[in-house]
Amino acid sequence: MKSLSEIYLLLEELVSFDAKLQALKSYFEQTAAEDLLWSISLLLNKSNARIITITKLKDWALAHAKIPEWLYNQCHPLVKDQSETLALLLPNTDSSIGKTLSAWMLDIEHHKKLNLSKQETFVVNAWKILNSNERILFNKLITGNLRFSLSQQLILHALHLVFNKPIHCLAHRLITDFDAFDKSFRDWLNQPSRKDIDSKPYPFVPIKKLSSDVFNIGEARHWLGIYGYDGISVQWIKRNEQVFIWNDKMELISLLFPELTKPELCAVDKVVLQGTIILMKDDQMMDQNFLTSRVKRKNISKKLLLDFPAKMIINEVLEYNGEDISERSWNTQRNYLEQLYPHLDNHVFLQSNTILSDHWESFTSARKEARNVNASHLVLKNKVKTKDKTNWLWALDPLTVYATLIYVESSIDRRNISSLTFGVWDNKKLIPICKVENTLSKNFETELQIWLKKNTIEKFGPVKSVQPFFVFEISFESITENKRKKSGISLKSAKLGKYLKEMKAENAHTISILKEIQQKHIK
Amino acid sequence: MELLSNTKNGLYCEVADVYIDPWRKVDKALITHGHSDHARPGHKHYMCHVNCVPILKLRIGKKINVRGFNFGESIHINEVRFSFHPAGHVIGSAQIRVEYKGEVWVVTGDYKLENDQVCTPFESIKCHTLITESTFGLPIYKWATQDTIIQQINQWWAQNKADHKISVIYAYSLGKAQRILKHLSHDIGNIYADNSIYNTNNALIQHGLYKRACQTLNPESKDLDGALVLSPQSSSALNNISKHHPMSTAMASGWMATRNKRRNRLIDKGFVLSDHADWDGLLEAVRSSEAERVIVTHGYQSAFARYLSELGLRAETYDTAFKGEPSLS
Repeated sequence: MKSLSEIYLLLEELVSFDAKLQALKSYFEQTAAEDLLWSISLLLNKSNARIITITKLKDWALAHAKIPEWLYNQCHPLVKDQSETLALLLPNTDSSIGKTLSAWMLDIEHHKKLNLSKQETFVVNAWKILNSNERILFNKLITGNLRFSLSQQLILHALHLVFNKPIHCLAHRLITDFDAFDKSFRDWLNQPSRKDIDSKPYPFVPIKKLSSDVFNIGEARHWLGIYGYDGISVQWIKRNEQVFIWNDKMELISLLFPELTKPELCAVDKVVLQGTIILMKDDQMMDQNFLTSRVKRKNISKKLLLDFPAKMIINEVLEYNGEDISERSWNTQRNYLEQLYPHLDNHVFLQSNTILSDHWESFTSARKEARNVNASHLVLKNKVKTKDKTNWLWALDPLTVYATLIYVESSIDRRNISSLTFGVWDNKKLIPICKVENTLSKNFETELQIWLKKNTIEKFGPVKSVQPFFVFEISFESITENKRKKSGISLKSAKLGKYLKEMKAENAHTISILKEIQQKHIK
Repeated sequence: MELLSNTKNGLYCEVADVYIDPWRKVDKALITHGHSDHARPGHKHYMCHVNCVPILKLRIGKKINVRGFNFGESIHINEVRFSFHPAGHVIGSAQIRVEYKGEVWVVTGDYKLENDQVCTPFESIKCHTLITESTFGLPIYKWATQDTIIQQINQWWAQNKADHKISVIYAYSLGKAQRILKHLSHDIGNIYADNSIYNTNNALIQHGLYKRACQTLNPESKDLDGALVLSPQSSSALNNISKHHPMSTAMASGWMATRNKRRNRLIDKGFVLSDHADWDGLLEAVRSSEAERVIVTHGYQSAFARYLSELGLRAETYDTAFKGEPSLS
């Protein structure tokens, strides 16, 4: 309990991935084998140790600490966390006994079914041997309020560093429900598993953003272009009648897409496909927001599966009939893919459009057409497999709109401007469409701050609303519908463009222009 | 008529025509200690403990008219007997005892019960009426011992040094800075202090009130790798340094007791170290004074007073112009 409470508080203080990884690594190193499985299960928010409500816990704590309710009500708003307030109010203990986490978890499980007075005795006795940090964790644990906000990836990496097991082997162990009660960590880690071999993905080929001119990467005839979509880049694996789906962060995401994990989708066994998962509705591709909301869900309802089924656009075949063809030339791969297509369920698997040409011009015109097929970028792959296997992401030319500055937000220390909000006209009123990061030059920013002194309309904390005067070009990748926004739309990766000195605020763009752009790109 | 009353200028003794820690300009002011919410500029006559004199001169001005008294020394003004007694808050801090015709009042000023080994430790004074502060007058505030916290700071510093980071601790220039500087391990690395802390320390060292010196922080400071910097607040010097050196920041304050406050400050670490009494400390001070009547001021006065009255004491509150600890300046 002690080390878990320490890591809980420490992780709250840390920000960077590396710092958290180091902290978790040393935590796993120091944790006894018997507690490891419990720790992992708690870190992943998988254990339910709730035995009572926080209200009941409060009654017990106040009675034990002899604190009247009104005094608690004075304290709680300052702490803003009930479990912590109670932990602080309880009398301090000097010693904390070294009871292991697994012993605690067994005790808690045991008391789940007992009557209230026995539970109270257990909880009050626990408080007597826990220090105030441990009490925070304990209170959260037994009221079901303990949440770690860690990515699976972080935990996987930390376990990988400590126990030296391949990440993909650890990953499917993490997502399958493991029962910490009747399994030891060693068994869990070393369980002989067919899945370790069956689920193994190929390394994901890195993809880099093309920043220079396309001609610099070589001759067009050595390359092929594939439309890229806003979806999840995955490897789809079927081996021994079992399907595994990995995303490019090496997370096993099979459970999120039940419609894609049926073995009968592919009649051939031992196949690995690479591609992108997207959601469709009546042959129309949904934007990424739908996918994000699917991923966040714990249970995927039947309705969701029917309304927005997931499909996969295949780009490559990496394994066919158990044969590794990931290193083979593009032509060979293409042949395998052609052989494979008749055996695939064509309701779920879609073919990607490839662009092949000896001239870059054809690529350029394909790129211009990309938005009409709902693609968000073009991926360039080297046809001849060389040592350098990098793929290039060729972004589309951004869309632009002339928008008026309406809000300016200062940084926390109030010295700099951190972000700017822009709006477009809608019936003589400006409605916000996007908030962009401040990328103004230092001089311009200073000028703007001087201008702000006279032209601020209202202040809302760090945010100032300003007179409509500055018109900027705002570039963005795409428009999606967003009913939560006043404007009804949101702009994807909006960036600050150039300042349009000549343009007066009243001549800037209106919402109808954005709506037109949106209509144009939805088929 | 009461011996002491709460007026718009501050706490006032009408018989002697003297104010205690007044916040508006007055003729005669008794000062409990040198923090800016207690020692205001502009009074004609200042009276305080001898150790507080150099602090007042540094903070308010060299030319002020100030007289210092020893602990326990009597000051008679219009038949009222005043005396200063140790409060254990910061160097030069005192409680003020007021006696008139057998009636005794004690004004605690700010105080803590733990001996910090920097200033004279708190002494309990028996009285009829006690006017106590209540900065941390809620039961969520309970301090660990100074040794525990100093050990935490040393550990944190050593870890930062191993990671080649500069450790920055934000702490008040009068009080916490001296406390941390005195008790920190000498062996870990170089210690630098911001100018305001450096100047305070120098004034104290000159008068023999404090011993441990340190270097001042300036843009030319070298050997910053793994060093510890004490500063009352984020400064331009620190900002400049942070551009070239990785830095870890911490704050030493009683407010760091809750996660909420730690999160709200832009710091990496919070150390719960305070120069004020915690909840148990306040209760202990009230109990040992054996006062029949307690007046609570400076902090969570209404909550603390209500708690005392539920314990059966006669308790009331005074409002002050200043709430909580002074700003970090």
